[in-house]
Amino acid sequence: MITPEEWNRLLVLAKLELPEEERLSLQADLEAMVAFAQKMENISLEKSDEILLGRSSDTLREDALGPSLNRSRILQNAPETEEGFFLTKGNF
Amino acid sequence: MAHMACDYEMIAGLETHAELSTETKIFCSCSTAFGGEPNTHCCPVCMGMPGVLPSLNRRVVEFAVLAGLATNCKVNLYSRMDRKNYCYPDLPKAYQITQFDFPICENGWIQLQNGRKIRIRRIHIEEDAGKLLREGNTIHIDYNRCGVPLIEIVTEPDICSPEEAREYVEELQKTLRYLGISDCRMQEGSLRCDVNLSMRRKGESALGQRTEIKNMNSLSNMVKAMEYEAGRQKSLLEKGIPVRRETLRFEVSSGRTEPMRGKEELDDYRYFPEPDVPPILLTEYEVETLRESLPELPGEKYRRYTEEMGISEADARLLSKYRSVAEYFEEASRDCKSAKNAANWILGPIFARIPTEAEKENFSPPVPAEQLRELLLLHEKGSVSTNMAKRILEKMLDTGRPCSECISREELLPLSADALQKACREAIENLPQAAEDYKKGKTKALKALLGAVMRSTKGRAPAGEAEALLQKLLQ
Amino acid sequence: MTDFSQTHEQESATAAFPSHRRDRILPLQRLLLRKECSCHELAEAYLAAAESSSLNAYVLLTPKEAFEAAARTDRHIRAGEPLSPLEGIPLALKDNISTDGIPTTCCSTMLEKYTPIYDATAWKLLKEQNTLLLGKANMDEFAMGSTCETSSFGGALNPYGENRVPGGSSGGSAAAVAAGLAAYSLGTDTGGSIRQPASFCGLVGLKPTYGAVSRYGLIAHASSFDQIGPITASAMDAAIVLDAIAKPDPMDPTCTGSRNSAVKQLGASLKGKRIGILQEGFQGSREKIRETVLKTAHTFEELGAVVEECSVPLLPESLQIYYVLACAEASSNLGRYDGIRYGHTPSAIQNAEDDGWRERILRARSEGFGREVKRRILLGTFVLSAGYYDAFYRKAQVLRRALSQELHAALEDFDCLLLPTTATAAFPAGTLGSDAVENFEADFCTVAANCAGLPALSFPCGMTAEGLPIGAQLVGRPFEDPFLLNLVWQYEEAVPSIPEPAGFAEKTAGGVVLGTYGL
Repeated sequence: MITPEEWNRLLVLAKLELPEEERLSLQADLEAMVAFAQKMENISLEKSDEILLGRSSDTLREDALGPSLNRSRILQNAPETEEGFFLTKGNF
Repeated sequence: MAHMACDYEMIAGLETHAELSTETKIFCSCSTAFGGEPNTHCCPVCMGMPGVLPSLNRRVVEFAVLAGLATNCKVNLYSRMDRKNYCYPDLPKAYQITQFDFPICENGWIQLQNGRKIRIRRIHIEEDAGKLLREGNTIHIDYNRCGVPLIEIVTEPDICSPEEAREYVEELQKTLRYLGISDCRMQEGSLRCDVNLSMRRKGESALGQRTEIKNMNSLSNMVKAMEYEAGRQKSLLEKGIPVRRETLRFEVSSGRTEPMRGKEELDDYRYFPEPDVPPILLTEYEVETLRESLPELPGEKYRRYTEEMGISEADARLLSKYRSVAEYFEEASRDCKSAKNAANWILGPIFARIPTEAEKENFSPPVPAEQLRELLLLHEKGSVSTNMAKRILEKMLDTGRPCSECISREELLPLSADALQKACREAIENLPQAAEDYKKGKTKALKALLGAVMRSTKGRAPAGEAEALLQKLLQ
Repeated sequence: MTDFSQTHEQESATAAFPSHRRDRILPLQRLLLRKECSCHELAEAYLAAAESSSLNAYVLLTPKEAFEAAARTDRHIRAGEPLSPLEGIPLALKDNISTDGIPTTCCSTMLEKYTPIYDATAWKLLKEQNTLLLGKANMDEFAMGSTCETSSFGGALNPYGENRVPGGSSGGSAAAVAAGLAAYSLGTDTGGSIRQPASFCGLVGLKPTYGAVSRYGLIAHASSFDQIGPITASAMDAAIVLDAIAKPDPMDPTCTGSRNSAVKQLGASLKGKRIGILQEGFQGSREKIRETVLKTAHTFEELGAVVEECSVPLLPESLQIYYVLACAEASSNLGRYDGIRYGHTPSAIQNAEDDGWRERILRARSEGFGREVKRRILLGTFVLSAGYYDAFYRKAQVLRRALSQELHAALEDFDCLLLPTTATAAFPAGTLGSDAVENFEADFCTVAANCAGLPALSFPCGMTAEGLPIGAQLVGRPFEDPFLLNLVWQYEEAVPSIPEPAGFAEKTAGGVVLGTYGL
């Protein structure tokens, strides 16, 4: 039902690696979802776009400077840093 | 300018990002100040740490509305934020909070000098990403810029030439600077333009395949890039080779557009409504209040200067380019019968002192407006002659002293008829050759005599009267 | 008819503790104020019990913070100063709530070494009251699961029964309170993760109205569903905690705080209040569960309420609506875990040429996330992807609103709705995956309240023949959390409470046997 190509695309988008056998076990879940979607076929999508629980906030945040955090705290959970920068490897 | 062969035409649209000059970032209270040591304007929110939530900055919404009002857009009373999901090291949350389905402004336009309108499809709010610095195989990441508020202004494909694109961007810069919502500096990255460009045979109605050119860091590079790309597409089409849909960058050294590596062209952004930010609900009252706070915009000033104040088109354009200059001009020329002198004196002697564009944009008057006006009014009244006034102005510019201190009493008094007579006679006596030449019919010789009169009266002599008197004496 | 009477009929002279009441917060403070033991001794007793427990309820104990809070509490008592409502009271905090300077892992390999640099607002409010943090509680990884078994630190055990799950995802929080290893706890609820473990462990669990409690600092699972809430032994305790944490927060624009004090509403008359028995909620429930939950309706009637049946036809769809939308939001919320600023560092690779940021992120995530998390990320990515977004995500949103409208309509007719919390009692550990139907049903009764943002409260109402607790659930109108708590408080007055589990930790503090006070 979900083709190997679609599966690979999903893995790329989700940035995950998963062994082939997991794909098969996930099929059942996806099939249940597709069946559910079929039940919803007749639902009209006009005016569907309001967020259900998004209560409009009367107060937006004022544009005033807050205290800044010590850079060492910002960096403290990172595995690799250098001279105040976060690091990763090139990929271009 | 590249000369297009008659059978092909360019269709282009621009997507422009402007950094908003708020104090704080869009979703947190970190500073938006440019520069700064890496990762020193950061907090858990803009770093996308686990558990944080965005808190929308009121000023960002206000600035976006002002931008829309100033470009004739409709302001949507309901708009909302959406998530744009993709993976890149400069994007901490792996999604950008932007507006996709319901932007804050739509359907406006910017008018060019030739009267053509470039339609604006939409203006929306979004957050900026961090900065990547590549050093060999290592990437250094600085999140200072992450979360800086942006507005994105998207045009319809109404632009027909690189020059139009340039003019559009300049008008947009002018407008946004007038509003004080962005300093729009391409070199600093506070204004970024992406161009979507396609070519088609004239007379065709279908759009050709477009390419996107990104990351041009100046207007002139943008123009060059468009010219090159137009030519490249045209030659492909002439050979019957289809244009490929791709993202390009402009290589300054070669003057060519090159495909951009590293961006996943076929990324699926999986847009969905941002659940953490309540929808933006504006009232008519709020929008009207913002509309009332709009300053008079450059187009309106230009019209008023040319149509009502008799200023030339070229001068009006220069005067209306920067809001602080325009307001200075208006203040200085207030109560004057004619604003032309104000225009001349500002564009001449005063601008000579502030040669750079940056100085003009951040105009800090070397002579206060009231002072200039005082001098202008004296001149209009006839208390000082034109030459005298110019000299006084230079003195004011040199010394920074007020008008009254730069004029001595005697300079201010009008020249008596006797004094004028005396000066004319003296001039004729001192320049017998010129007098002779004039009597022989060389009318130009009068100028030399007039010059002498002006020198001896220190410019106080009214030029017209002096000329007439000289002519009479020489008969 | 099963005997519900307490095991500790022989009571101490302090008859101020009614035999059926399972309150802990006020009794503990009374003990301290009467100087029957010091807070330091209290902390020692709880920590010792937690350390020697084999329930795996905690993934981290915080003795330093506990003793510091205890010392402050003892100072206040000596100085005769009044105590804050939660001062000195032992707390188990679910490990997806950010604690500045204290590791917060979501029980995931991904965040094994992560220490937050800021406090979650809900935790901060409790910290400001000088509460006694005993440790971070075990949970399903990233709050995804219903048994606590997807935790990368091993599952927790239910103190009731033999080798049973405590439920999830707030399994450790519930196990700790049920076993007397904490006086109260905070859990989080996205699709039932407070209420279901509360039900399995015989406790009161409240998922507050969406927006009543700040989510700032709660490591997100599904943004429009998540809420932090109390898991306690009684309604009074839950009310005290709710009053402490339900405050508006500028750091969370979706949070408006609670409107009224819950404690102040306890005892208000229930006369004429209308309770609707939600028919569809009983589908699939075991007979014993159904029977026991319906019996609570009789008690409410005796207390003055009017009980009738009601229907919410879309209720059976709520599970699928939830899975589509919650997985979608989760797949986006978990995108940030890439190992660059925090999180799992990928293991070394063979081929250095492949070692770019894309590969590193791929490996960090693949190694850092467990199976269930990956599964939900993929499902969520699927329903948001081009070509499927309209058919899945957008339609599920429409259906969500329709379900919500049905619930709101029912709540115009009734002051609250009654249904079971779960279709079964706690199932045996290790059965995850083998009986998909039971796992599926585990969430069935609870997700609708998250879909509609309504307050929902689970409370213990009986035991199965195997000696496992049964939970009933009340769903109310937005911000009427205090009303639900009042209902359960009065229920507790009227009905003897269920027994504590056999393994309830015996603790002695300063010579006082805490068990005599039910603590």
